[in-house]
Amino acid sequence: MPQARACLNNGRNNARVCGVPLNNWFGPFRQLLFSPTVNRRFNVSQRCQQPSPNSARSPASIVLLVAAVGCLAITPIESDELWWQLSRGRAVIDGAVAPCQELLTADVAREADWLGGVPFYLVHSIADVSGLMALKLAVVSGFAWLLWSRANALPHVAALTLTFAGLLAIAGAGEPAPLMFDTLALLLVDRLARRWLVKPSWINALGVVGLFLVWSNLARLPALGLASLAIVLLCRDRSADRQPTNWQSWRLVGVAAIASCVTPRGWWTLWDSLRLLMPWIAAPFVVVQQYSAWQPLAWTQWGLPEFAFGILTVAGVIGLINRVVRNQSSGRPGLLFLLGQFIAWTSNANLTLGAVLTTLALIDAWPTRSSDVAASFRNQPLLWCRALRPILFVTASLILICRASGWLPNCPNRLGWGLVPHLDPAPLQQALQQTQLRGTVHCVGIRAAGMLSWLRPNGLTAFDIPQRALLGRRLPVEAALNRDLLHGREFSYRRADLSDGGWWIPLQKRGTALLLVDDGYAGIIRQLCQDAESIWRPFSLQSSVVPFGKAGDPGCSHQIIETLRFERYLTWAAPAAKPISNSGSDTHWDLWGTTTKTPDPSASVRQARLLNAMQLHIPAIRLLAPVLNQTNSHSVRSAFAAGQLALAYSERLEVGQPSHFRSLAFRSTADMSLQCKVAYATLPAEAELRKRNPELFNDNTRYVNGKPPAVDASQLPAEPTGDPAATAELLYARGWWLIESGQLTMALAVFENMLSTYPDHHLSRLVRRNVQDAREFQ
Amino acid sequence: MPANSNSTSAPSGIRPVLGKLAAACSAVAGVTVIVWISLPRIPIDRITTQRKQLVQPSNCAECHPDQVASFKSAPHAQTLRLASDPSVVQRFDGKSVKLPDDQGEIEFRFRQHNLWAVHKTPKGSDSDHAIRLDWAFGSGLHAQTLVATWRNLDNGNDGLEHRVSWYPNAGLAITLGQSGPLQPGLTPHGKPMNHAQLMNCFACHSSNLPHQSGRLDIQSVQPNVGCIRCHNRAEEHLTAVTKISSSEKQSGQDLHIERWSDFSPLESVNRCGECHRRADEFTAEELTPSNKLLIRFAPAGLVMSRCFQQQRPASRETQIGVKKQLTCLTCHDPHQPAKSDPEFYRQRCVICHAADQQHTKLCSSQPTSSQCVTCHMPKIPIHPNLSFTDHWIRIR
Repeated sequence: MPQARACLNNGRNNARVCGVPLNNWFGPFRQLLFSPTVNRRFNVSQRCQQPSPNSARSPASIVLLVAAVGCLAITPIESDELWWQLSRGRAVIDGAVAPCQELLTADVAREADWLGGVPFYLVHSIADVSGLMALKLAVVSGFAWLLWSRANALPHVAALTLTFAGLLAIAGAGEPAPLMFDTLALLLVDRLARRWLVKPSWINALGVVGLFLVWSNLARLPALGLASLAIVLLCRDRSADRQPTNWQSWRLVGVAAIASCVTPRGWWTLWDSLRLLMPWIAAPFVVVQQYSAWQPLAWTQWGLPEFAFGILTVAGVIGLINRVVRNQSSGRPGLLFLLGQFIAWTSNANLTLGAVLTTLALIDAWPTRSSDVAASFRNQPLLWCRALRPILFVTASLILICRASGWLPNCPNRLGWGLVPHLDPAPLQQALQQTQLRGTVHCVGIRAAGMLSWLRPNGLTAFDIPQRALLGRRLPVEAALNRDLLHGREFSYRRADLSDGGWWIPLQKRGTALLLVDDGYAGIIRQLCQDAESIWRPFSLQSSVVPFGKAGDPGCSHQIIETLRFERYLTWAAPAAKPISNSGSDTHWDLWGTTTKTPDPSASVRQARLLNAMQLHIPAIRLLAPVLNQTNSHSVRSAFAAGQLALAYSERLEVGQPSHFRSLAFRSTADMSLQCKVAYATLPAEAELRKRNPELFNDNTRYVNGKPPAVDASQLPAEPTGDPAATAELLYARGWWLIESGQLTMALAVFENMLSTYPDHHLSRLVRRNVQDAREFQ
Repeated sequence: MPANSNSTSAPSGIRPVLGKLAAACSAVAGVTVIVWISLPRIPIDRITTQRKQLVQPSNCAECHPDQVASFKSAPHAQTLRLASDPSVVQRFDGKSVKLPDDQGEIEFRFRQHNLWAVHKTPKGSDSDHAIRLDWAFGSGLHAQTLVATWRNLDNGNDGLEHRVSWYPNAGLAITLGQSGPLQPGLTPHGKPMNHAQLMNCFACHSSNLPHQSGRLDIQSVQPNVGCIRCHNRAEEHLTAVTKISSSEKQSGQDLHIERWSDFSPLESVNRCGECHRRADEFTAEELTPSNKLLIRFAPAGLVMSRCFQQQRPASRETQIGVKKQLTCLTCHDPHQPAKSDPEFYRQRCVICHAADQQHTKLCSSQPTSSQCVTCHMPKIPIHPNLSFTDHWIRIR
C-alpha cells in the first residue's frame, strides 16, 4: 500500500499543467508542501525528494516568516511606557545617573537599569517616531532570526510552527521599552551559553559576562537570565566529549551574577530584578493584582500573544511527555519550560519572557531532523502528514491577515506606522500649557507619568509610578490611594489593617496640584466625574490622559470653566461628528486603512468610552453615530449601547421610567452581557416596544445604523393623534435625533411642540429642563 | 548551532526522569502555595469587610454591662433604621409635603410592608412617580432622612437621599441642602447617589457593611454606631479576654484593645472626625470662623479653638473624673445622650479656667459661675429647622 501511494505521489510530482511541471506551480512553497520528511515516510525515490541539509531555510518558510515580521512589527507603537522611557533617556543624557530621582518626587533610590531609556531617546532624537518604528522592525526581525536559527535542526513543520508561534507570542517586546532588551538578552544568553558549552573558551565566557553587564544596566530582569544560564549550563548533556566541569559552569554563573551587579544600584540589582519578576514577593498579592500588568495570566483578557503562548504551552507538554516516553533526558527543557510557565502564569508582564523560555524548551525537547524524525513520524496517518503543511501555511496566513487588519479580539492595533492616537501627548500639552499649577502630580498609570515627564510643565512633577513604588515599598500606599479614588473615599476611614484611608489627606500632604489618569482607568475617571461635589474637575476632553485640577485653584480654574462650557456645547450644539481618523496625523499612518479603504473605529471607540466614563453620553453617541454608519463592529455597538443604557438609567432615575427611544436603541445594539445589566433601568423588551410604537421602531432601525431619521417640521403632529403616549415618545425621540445630528433649532421646535401638546407626559419634565439648557446655544 | 545534543537516551528508563519532573513541579507548586498563604490580606475598609466572628453588643455586655445598658439610649445607637420600622413609619406615613417652586408634592404611604414616597405633579397627571424607601438615617435628635437603594448597572448599589426629612421641631420639611429649584442632578424625589457615595453614608451610620459580589449584603448589615465601630480590634480583644483569667486581667496584661485614653487629644478628636469631619479635611480658606459650613462639623471647629491648640499635655484625673485635656470626650460620653444642662459644660470649662490655674485666663466679662457655652459656644441655626452648637470656642 505505501508503495502504491508513493507511486501516486511520484506521478503527481511529474505531472504538468499547461506545459509546466506541477512542482513549479507551487513556487517557493514547494519545499514546505513536499518536504523530505513526508517523502521519506512514503518511501519516495531519491529522484523526487531533493533533500538538502539546510532545507529548513526554504523560500516558502522565509517568505512566511518575513510576512510575520512585517505584520507584527509594522504596527504603530502602543507601549504605555514609551514617553516614560524617553524621559528617562533624556534625563541621563542631561547628566543624571538616577533618572527616576529627577522625574519622581517620591523616589530616592538609584535604579539598576538607568541606561534603559537612552537608546530609545537617541533613536527618537535622530529619527523621531520613524526611528523607533525602524528599531521595532529591526528588533522583531532579530527575534525571528534568533528563533529560526535556533530551531534550524528540527523538522520543517516543527521548526516553522515553533518559530511562528514564538514570534506571535514575543513580538510585543519589539515596543520601545526595557522588555525589548530583556527578550533579546534572554535569547542571546541561551545562544552564548550553548556556544560556551561546545567550546568553553575565555572569549565565549567573556561574551556571556559582557552580556549580563550590559543587560543589567539596560533592562530589569537579569535575574531571569541568570536562572536560564544556570539551567542551560548545569543541566547539560554529559555524553559529549569536551564538556566544562560543574565547577567551571558555576564559576561562569557566579561571574555573570557579579557582572549583573555592576550598576548604580550595586548588589541590590538582582534583588530588584527578582522583585520585578515576581512582584508578589515585594508587595501583597492583593495589592499587586490591582495592576493589570502584574495580574496572573489567567485573569487577563487574552489576545494573540496569550493564545500563542497557550499553544506553545500545550506543545511543550506534549514534547516533554514524548521525551519521557522515549526515555530521553528531560532535565534542561523541563526546567526551562517550568520556569517559563511559572513566571508567565503568575504575572502577565512576564508573558513574553515566559514564551521565550517555553519556545527554547520546546526546541530543546523536540526530536531533531537528523536522528528522530523517522521515529516520530513512523505511526502517523498519511492524510495528517499531507495536510499539515498547507494547513499550517493557510492558518498562519489567516492569523497574519487578521492581525494586520485589527480583527483579532484585544488586538485592535492594525498595520500602520507611527504612534497609536492615545499616545499622542499634544492634547495634554495643549491643556497644560495654559495652566499655572505648582506641586506634585498623582499619576494613575505609567502613560500619565511618562507624558507629564516628557512635557516637563513648569512647577509640576510626577509623584510616583508603580514599578518604582514596588521597589521602594510604596506600592501598597499607592494602590490604596488609587482604590480610594476609585471608590470615592475622600474622607478619613479605618481600613481593615487599621491604617488611615481616604484620599484627601495624603494628596494634601503631598501638595498634589493635579491628577493625571490614563483612560484605561475608566473606573477612577467615572467616579471623579460622577461626583458633582468632588473637588477634582477635568480640564481636557481630548487627551487620552485626563487631567483633573482642583475646583477653585486659580492655576487651572479658567481651563475647568472652559471645559465645562465645552462639555455643554458638545452635548447640545456641536454639529454632527465625523469619525476620528487615524490617518494623516503627524504621528500615525494607518497603512491597512489606506490600502483597503476600510475605516478604523478603534480611535472613535476609545474616545467614546472615555466620554462615557466622563458622563458625557450624548457626545459619545454623537461620535459613534457616523462610525455605525461605516462599520458594524462589536466594539462600536457596545460603546453605543453603553451610552444609551446610561441615558435610559438616568431617565428612569429622574422620571420613574426610561423612554421608549433609549430603551429601543439599547435593546437593538447591546450584546447579551450588556442586556443583562438592566437591573434598575427596567427597560421594556424590544418586541413590546415594537408593538406599542411601530413608527418609532422603524425609525430606530435607521438610527442604530448611524443614519438619523430625517425629520421634517411639517410632519410633526400638531394635535394628539392615535395613542398620545406613543406620539409623545416619538416626539421625544425625534427631538433627540435632531440634537444628536446637530440640528438644535429644529430640535427645540420639536420639544416645544411636545410640551404644548403633552404638557403632563412624564417625559415632558425632562424636556423642560433640556429646553432650558439648550436655549443657551440657540 | 546543533540542537541534538540532548537527544541521548537515558539508560535508566522512564522513572528517574518522571521523578525529576515531579520533584521540580512539586517544588514550584510548594513555593507558590507557601508564598500565597503567607501574603497579608488587602487593607480594605474595616466596615465593609466580611468578618466571620462579628462581636455583638451582647458579647461586650458580659464585662461592660453598664456601658452597654446606657448606650441603648444614646443617639449613636439609633443612627440607622429600616424605613419600615414602626417609629419611622409613624413619622412619615400618610403625610405630605409641598415642594418649592411649584414642583408638586411628595406624599408618603405605607403599603405592603414598605414605605413609599409618591411625587405628584401640580396637576396630578400621569407622571406620578413612586419610589420605595428602605432606610432612615439619623437618630432623630437633629433630623431623620429617608434613603432608597437599588441595584445599579454595575451590580452594585445606587441610592437616593430623599428630599423630605423629619425634624423634631417642624415635622416633615425639605432636607438640608436640597431646598431651592431643582438643580441638574437632582430629581423631584431627591439627590441620587452612586455606590461610593451611598457607602460613605452607610459607613458612618452602621457598624458593619459586608458586601457580596460588590453589592451590599442587606441581611448582614449591622446598623447603628455600635461598640465595634469605635473600638477597633474588638475581635482580638474578645478572644484575648476569653483566654486569660480574671487575675491576669488585673495585672495589666495586654487585652488587645485600643484605649481611647491613650490617644493624644488630636488623635482622639480625629477619631470622632472620621464621621464628624476632621479639620485637616478642609482647605485653609474653608477654615475660617465665618464659614457656617464648619458649624455642622464639631471636631473641625474644636481643633481650631485656642482652647484646644494651647492645651498642655494631659495630666492626672481631676475631681470630676476626667483628664485635664480637651477632646470630644471631655464633654461628651458617646455611650450616653449629650447632656442638655449648661452647668455640666461650665464645670468642664472651669477645670482649666479657674482662679487657681496659672496658664489660663478668667472670663473678663462674666463671673465663672455664669454659663460659658451661651457666649462661647452658641447654637447657630443652619437651616430653618436645624441648629448646631458651634464648637469653635472663641470670644465673639
